[in-house]
Amino acid sequence: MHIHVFKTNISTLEKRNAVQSLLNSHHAIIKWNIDKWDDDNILRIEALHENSNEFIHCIGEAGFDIQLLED
Amino acid sequence: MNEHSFIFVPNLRERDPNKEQIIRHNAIEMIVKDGFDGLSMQKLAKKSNVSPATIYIYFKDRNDLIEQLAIDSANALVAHTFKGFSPDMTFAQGMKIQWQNRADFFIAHPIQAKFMEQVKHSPVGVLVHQKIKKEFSIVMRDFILKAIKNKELIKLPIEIFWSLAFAPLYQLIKFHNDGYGLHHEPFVLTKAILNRTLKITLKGLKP
Repeated sequence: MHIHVFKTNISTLEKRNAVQSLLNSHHAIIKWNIDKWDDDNILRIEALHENSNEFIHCIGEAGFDIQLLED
Repeated sequence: MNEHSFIFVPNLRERDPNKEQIIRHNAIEMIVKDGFDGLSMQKLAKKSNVSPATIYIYFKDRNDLIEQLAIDSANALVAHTFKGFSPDMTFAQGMKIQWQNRADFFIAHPIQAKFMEQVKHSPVGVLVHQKIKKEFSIVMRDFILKAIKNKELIKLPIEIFWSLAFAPLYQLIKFHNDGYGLHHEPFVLTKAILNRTLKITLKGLKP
């Protein structure tokens, strides 16, 4: 299992709802959540693989800002 | 089964128990100093000298961090409270061990003591209570019921029992951790003071 951490602009419930179906249906995502208490709207993904680009592309395509946070 | 089932790729974000411990310690310090609202993952990362992403390896989000800290603190207290204790002991013996254990714990961990007090008065407190309730409640219930049956303890509503049985101890611990008593004179909780207070407390709880 690989943990991916991203800074995003998914700041509202409406925006969260917009990415929900994308993330829920993604074949490589085991679990995901957005830290609603954090100013950087951190998106945390537990995935089957280590390729973060796939998730960046997926969220970017949906029209949101997303940036990988390195460990 | 999918294409990933056959490939072993190590997790790039490995867990490091030392880093996790530093993060936990600093988070408790921040909450005690600035309250729950004062805890941000950015500030915590800076204080812990790690990337914010590192914190999310261990914790799902800020709320998960607070809940884990609260549950772990409560579990540590319960484990320490029950060291050498058995519900089969006489009421006086059991209380003596519990008083000493609780005092040892809170004096050794004054920051954790303040944190647990904050948790108690927050919504997280309810969750902690539910998580640790079973084990703690069963042991304490058996101990109290046996003491009532053996006429070592008067039957009281639990809130009254708790206030009489443990509030004096917690006030003494507070004086000790503050370093001063009611009149701002230096105060140290010694074994003699603890035993003297316990003796009076037990007298008040006898039928």
